[in-house]
Parts: sequence; structure tokens; C-alpha cells
Amino acid sequence: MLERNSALKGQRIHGRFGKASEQPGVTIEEIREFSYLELTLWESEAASLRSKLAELLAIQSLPAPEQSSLLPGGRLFSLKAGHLGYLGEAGPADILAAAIAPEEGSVVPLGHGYCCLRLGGPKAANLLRRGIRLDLRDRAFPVHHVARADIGGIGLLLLRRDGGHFDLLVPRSQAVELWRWLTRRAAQFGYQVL
Amino acid sequence: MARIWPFTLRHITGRRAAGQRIGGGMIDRERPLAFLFGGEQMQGYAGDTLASALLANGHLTLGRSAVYRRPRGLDATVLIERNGKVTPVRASEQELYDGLVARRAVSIFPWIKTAIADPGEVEHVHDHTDVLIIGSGPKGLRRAVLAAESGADVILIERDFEPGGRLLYEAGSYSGLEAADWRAQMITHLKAQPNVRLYPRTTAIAEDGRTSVLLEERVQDYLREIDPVLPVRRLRHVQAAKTELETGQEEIGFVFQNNDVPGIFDARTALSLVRRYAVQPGDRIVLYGNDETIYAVVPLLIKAGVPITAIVDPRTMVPARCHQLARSAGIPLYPGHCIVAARGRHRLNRLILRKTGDDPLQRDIHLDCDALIQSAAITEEQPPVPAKGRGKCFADPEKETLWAPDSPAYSLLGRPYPLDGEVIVPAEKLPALRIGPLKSALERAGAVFRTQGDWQLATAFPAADEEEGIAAEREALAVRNVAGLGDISHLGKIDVQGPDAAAFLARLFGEGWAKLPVGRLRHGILSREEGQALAGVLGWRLAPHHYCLTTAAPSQAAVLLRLKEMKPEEEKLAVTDITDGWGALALDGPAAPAILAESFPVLAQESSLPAMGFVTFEQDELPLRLARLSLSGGAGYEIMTPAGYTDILWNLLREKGKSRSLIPVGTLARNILRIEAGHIGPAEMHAGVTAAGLGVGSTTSPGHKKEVQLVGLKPVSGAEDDKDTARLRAGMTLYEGDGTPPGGPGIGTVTSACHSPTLGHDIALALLTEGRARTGTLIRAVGEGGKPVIDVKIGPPRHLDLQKERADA
Repeated sequence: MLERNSALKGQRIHGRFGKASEQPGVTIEEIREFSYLELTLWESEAASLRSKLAELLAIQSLPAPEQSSLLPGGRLFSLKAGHLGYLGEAGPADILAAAIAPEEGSVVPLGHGYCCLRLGGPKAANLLRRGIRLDLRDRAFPVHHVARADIGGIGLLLLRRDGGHFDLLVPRSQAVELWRWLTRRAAQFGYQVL
Repeated sequence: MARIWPFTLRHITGRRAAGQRIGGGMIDRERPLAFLFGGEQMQGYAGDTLASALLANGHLTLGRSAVYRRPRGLDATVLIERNGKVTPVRASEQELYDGLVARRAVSIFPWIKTAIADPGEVEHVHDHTDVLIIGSGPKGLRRAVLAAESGADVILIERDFEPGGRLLYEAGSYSGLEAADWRAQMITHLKAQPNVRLYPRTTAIAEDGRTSVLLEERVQDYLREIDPVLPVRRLRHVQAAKTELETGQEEIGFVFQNNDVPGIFDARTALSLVRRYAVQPGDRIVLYGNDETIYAVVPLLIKAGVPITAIVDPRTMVPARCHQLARSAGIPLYPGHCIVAARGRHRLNRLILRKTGDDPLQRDIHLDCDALIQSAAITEEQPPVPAKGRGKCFADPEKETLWAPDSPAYSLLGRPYPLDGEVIVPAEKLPALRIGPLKSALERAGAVFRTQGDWQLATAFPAADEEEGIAAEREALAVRNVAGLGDISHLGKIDVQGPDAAAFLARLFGEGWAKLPVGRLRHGILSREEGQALAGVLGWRLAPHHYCLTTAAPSQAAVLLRLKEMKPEEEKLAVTDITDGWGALALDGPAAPAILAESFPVLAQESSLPAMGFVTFEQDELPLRLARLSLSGGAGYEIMTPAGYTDILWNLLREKGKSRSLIPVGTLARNILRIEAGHIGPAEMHAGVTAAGLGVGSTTSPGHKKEVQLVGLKPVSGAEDDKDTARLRAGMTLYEGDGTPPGGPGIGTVTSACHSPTLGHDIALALLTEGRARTGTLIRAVGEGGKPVIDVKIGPPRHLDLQKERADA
């Protein structure tokens, strides 16, 4: 299997940095191998395709806008009506891509176009609040929530994975700039690159 | 009354008198702090502000005002020196620290937040809350506790470094507790609540709409040593469902001549100095007020051992209890008197009193003093207005607004909520620098990088001591003679798919796009709404319902926007930017076909790839799209692969091309090759030129007589200037070649120019009115400012005859 070249090559160094403390306030991990698909369902075919995909993926219904559904090996989410995204392992991505005929919708694989960063630790939301305008409090941005956001003009996709982890999808060409911002801002909490 | 000459020795040294430490206060006498002000070593205590420590050391006049250059007291803006930087800060807001170095400031407008000018020291934070409470006085603390107990998220901010507001100096009781004990209890309780965030040293500086408030938090600028991992300041953009102002009321005073002289305090400031910082504001203090507030100050000052010289009350009917208080304390009371003027150059030394009623026979009373504590109340009985005389009367001493006879007879002494300042908040913007997937590999190959538009690009691969421009010409020549490999991953790439994709693109670029066979490429010009050219686009038909468009990097955003604008909502069509998803390389030159054959053995049976055709295939799991097209005009290919595998493709081609002297090529060389071949680039997309003018067929451009058209130019004579300045350059204006001196708007513009290493002279592309009809004629290219002037001959855009090269390929 070919190894994907990291967008953060030369930047990402494993270890503890910033403020010294017993536990790091933030952990940052680059997810190297993942698939990311953007799916558009044609309006006239959306109802039937939604049922078909729900059945295929064995979920009750497709996620509502800004929500995500957990699949074995990945996560299906919706950013707006008729637009879905998939983030996770290649297997379900292939199944999804094969299931949608051109007459029903479009499938654009974009995994190589993004860098996926996973933020954890007790200060992860605190760190993100330094750049993201969204309300990230638990009740406003709960687990499985997903939204488009931006940090200093760099557009990204933000997904709350669980209580303490956020996944960020950052355009590959801007990943280094965002990485520098994250590590600079995370230094005040102490951070660990996993 | 005998007039006292003001310049006695006592008055000259008076600048350094008064302001001695008294007992009590909230300062920590166990922690003395040394500091420098204007080069003079002094001492204060932990818990002091710079202002209180300076007053305790006898300094009351800390600067001069910006407009009238008048002496300013404890609220003056001073300059703090730290780590080689100088920051303007209000002395009364600067916490004292050991080793603080400060000096007087000149011409600082204190209400302007100049310190926000350095965005590098500022961290932006976006906070959301249910309730934002501004001010942590008794009301603010109560509101915070109630809101928190109801389950709401609460942000409580306090400008001071100690929360508590007037609880820090007043003597009342709350819920049966002394003010100070109640304050401590409330703060401890709030700090223990998980839904409460308490931000001291934070000021609300601006409102943005109904729910957003901008806060400025001083994170480190009150400290001696800056922790590099922390910002100096934070700007908190707070979205609050509800904002509550609990900052108290504006403090107002009376208007009289020189009512801005240092030594005049409002009651809150004076009490704070005495009870919080344990500093006596003066030795001979006069109190001035028109309601009970000023009388409430009396026992507090007496308790602290602060001497009071007199009480002045402008009311004609002063209540008996006030008379009794003054009498019992042994303080002279002047009822029915007002202060008409203050005297003193650098600080107050005398007050002039006049009985109300304006009796011209009444003689003024001169009160010798060094501090005035005043508290005005707006009552039905209007306070006296200032009489004419020496000195200025201020309606707002801080902003130096002069009092006018039609203004209210009060002056503004303190603003509880300074949202009226001019705030310039630079939005945080990260550098829009985009880095391609091959950066590391290009660095290893010796590339020189420059920022072009949003991208950091490899412009050339110079050998040791070789200039970048020379390297670019060497690389361009090598492509003409052998082969070169360039990174073109920055090309804009847009995925268009859906059953309506073909019809959509045909509407934009012409019917040919709908008929384009799968596996073929087609050039097009995307036009603006008014028909002028916006960008050159290359379409790849991947499947009947699937296209990929590529365009020059500077045009990518505009093309994407135009496509999305033109896309009808109801059509089955998806337009997606995939620029970052694919890496791309350009392999050009006579040896390119052989290198390609060696690199991709799976393509052996695909050797008949036609010009403007492409194949999609995999080799050793590497997905590839290989197109036969060339920017150089000769033999050439563009190869795409998923961005994360671009380095694998780069290494493969370089390895296979080694025996054929394949060299890496930068963007400068590729630009030379483009101009030689007469290919249009973003520089040719000028407003006013149409697709037809660029020589590319388009259904959106009908064409017209005086059309601007793309032509090629070459110099026909060496200019009289030296060789360097006589070069053809982009931006030169074109004029008729009939000898008329250049002037006016000209007939065209040079859009791209270079020195062609293949031809040995300069060449250029230009947009020229009726350009094609002028082929073979001479015109003049003139630089900015009239020099250089170069005679040029008009020809077709293509400068090289590349037929043989293409045939060989």
C-alpha cells in the first residue's frame, strides 16, 4: 500500500511542548490515512437515495444538517440539505461511492486534499475558541456535531468526535500555517503531539 | 482677606509634599516593591497601583494633557518600559511590580486605545455565555451569583486587578458582614462555580450589535517578565444572550476655573486612595458637595486619620445634621458657598470661595489647601455657574472639553463604561500562504521559493553562485533541447459532475464542450458577465457526466466563484474545488516521450495518445491522469496524481529521466516557455479583452471592430539606453510608431515579457487595439516615466516555430 505524504512533513515533531504541567492541556494528532468524500444528492432523487443509503449503511436515517452518524470505521455527516460528507476508513467510502449513480448524485473523493488533525485534552475547546467563532459549549456543539468554520481566514471542517476530542479537516495547502497557529496558541496550555 | 503670594517655598516643593502612607488599606506591607519613575528609585507595596505608589512617594503630577498641555494627576497616561518596548498605560490602572520602569508621557490621548496597535501581542478569543456582567461591585457580584445559581453560564469582568468595585474601599455591611468579608465570601463562592468565568483586568471596550461585546484583557502587560507562551493581551469577542452593566454611575463634579488641576479628586478615587491603598491624598483637604454623599466621606477620612480643612456646600439650606457633623468633627463648614476657582500650577494650593447669590459686595474667601474631594449631585437647586476670570473651566477634564455657558453646570469626572473610545481592532488573519505537496522534494532539489499570489512556488533551481534569472533561462533552454520537469500542483482544479454538466459547460464555453469525447481536453475562456475574458480554462472530460477544469492559480478563486454563480440551483450539477486534492507535474521537451515510456511501462499500448488527449490509469497502485499537452508548445505532458502521492511521482520521473539529463524546472522558466509559445496566462486577462481577442473561440464574445487583440512583439533596434534598462517589460505602454512623441493612453499594453534564451533577444505578449491587422508593422513600447523607448515589430503571439518539435514528439 502506498504511503500518503504528510502535509505537515518537517513540522510535526512528537513530544511535549509549551507550558510544563503534569498533564498536557491539549493533545494534537495527525490522522494520516483516511478517506473523505463529499456527496451531493440531486434534489429530485434525494428522498429515494437517502432511504437507499440508510439501508445500505444500516442506520435509521441519514444525519440532519450539522449532525453526524457513527458508522463502523467512519462517520457520515451533513453540512446542509442534500450535501453529505464521509470521513473515515476507505472501506465504507468505497461502498458509498459505488452506491451512488451519476443520475442520483455526485461523489468527490477529497481525502488527499485535506489534513486531518485530532485535538484532545481538557483545553481542546479552549484552544479552538482562540480562533473559531462558533459556540463550542457542550450544549451548543455536542458530540457528533459538525460545522464549517474558519481560523484566521483558513476554512476548515470541525467535527466533535466525543466529549473531549475534535477532528479538524484543514485544506492540505494551508495545513502548515494552521499547524503553526495551533501550536503557538496551545503552548499556554502545554500540548503533546501524538 | 490677605492675599497669599502663591510661589512660596512650600508651594514650589509642594509637588513633592502630601501623599504619605497611613495605616490600614489592602496593600501587603510584607512585600515591598522597588520601581523607577523618570529615573528616580522609589518604593511601593504589592497591591499598589503605579498611581497610588507615586502619590505615596509625593508625586501627584504625572504628565501633561494632549491639547492644552496642562498638568495631569493620577489618571494620566504614563509610559511603561519593558523588554525594550514602551507601552502607554493609565497610571491608575497599572499594577505595581518589582522593577517596574515608567516615565512621563507626552501628548497621549488617554481615551484612545493605542496599545491595541500591535496585533502580534494580542490573542483573540471567542467566548459565548448566557450572561455577561460588566463590573464586579456589590450589584455585579449579586447578579453573578443569582444567574449562576439559575444554571446560566456567566462571565463576570472587572477592570481592576481586584474584583469588588466599591467594596474595596467602602464601609457598609452586606448580609450582616463587613463589606470586605462579604466581598471575599462572594468571590470564593463564584470561583467555585463551574459555569462562572471571572476575568479581572478586563475592560469592555466596544459593543458590536446587540449581543456582542469586545473585551480587552490585560494578560501580561502588568508584569515585569513576559511569559513567551502567553499573549500580552487578549481581545475577547463575547456573544452573550444578556449583558448587564453593573459599573456604577458616572461620577460628576462641579465646574469652576481650573477644575482640572492635580489634587482635585472625586469622592470614589479619594476613598480608594485612603482605604485601599493607605495613601493620604493631601495634608489640607477640602470637601465640596451638594448632598449627603460628601458628608458620608467625613467619618471614613477621620477614622483613617486624614485631616480635613473645610467643607464647602453650595446649598443655601444645609440640613442640621450636616452642620452637627461638621461641628462635632471640628471642621469649618461653608454653607451657601461655591468654589469659583482653583489655583496652583502643578497641583492645587488654594481654592477661591464665593457666597452664592452673586452679591457683588461679597468678598471672595481664599482657602489654603492641597487637595479637594468633590461629589456633585444633580438637584433641583442648580449649582452656581463659573464666573469669568483667570483659568479654563472644563466640562470634561479628561477629554479637555471646555465648559460653555449653555452647558450643564457639572463636569464629568469618571466614566464607568468606557465604550466611547476609538477602538481599532485588527481582525486576526493568518498568512494566506499555500504550500504545495512537493515542497520538501523541491527543497532537496535546490529550489528557490518565492510567494506568487497565495502560493509559495519554486521559481528556479539555481546552481551554486548562479543568479535566479540566469538559472531560469538555462532551464528553459534545457526544456527546448532535452527535457524538464516542473511542479504545477498549484494549478486551480475544479471538479464538475452531474447529468447537466455537459450542457452547463457548453453554455459557458461553447457547444464543443458538450461534444468533447471522454479522454480529450479542450481550451476555453471563461468570460465575465459583460463578455470580457476572466480566465483561461482547460477542460478534461473524465466521463460522460464528469469534467475536471484546470486554470492558472491566480484565476482559481474567480473561476470557482463564476461557476457557482452561473450554476442553476435546479440542475443536477456539483461544482467542487479539488485544487488541494491533486498534485500535478509538467514534463516537457524532446526527450519527454522517452522518459514517459520508461516511467510508465503499463502505457506501452497507449503510445498513440493524441495531442489534447489523456488517459487515466494506475501503476503500482499509483492513480494517474496523463495528458498530452504542453505549455512550451513542443512535446509535453501533464500528469496528475492524488496530492499525497505527488512525491512518489516526482521521484519516479526524476529517476527515470536521469540518464536523459532531465532537470527540474521552476516557474520562471515555465513562464519563458509560455511566452515563447504564445500561450495566454493570467496576465493577458485584462479587462476589455474578449475570448475572440485572445484568439480563443467563444460563443459569449461576438467580437467588434476596435477589438483589443493578443499579439507578439520583438524589438527591432537596440535602444539608446544601456542594455539592462532597455529590456522589454510587462506594463510598458504601446504607441504608434510614426515618430509622434509618446503621450496619452497609448494603443495597447505589454502584458508579459522575457528574454528568450532560444531566440537570443527579448520577446513579449501584448494586448493591442486591432492588433492582428497591424501584423508586421512597427510601434513603440515605452516604459513608465517615458523610458526606455523601444521600437518593436508586431507579430503573431507564437514566437517560435515549434512544428518540428511537435512532429518529433
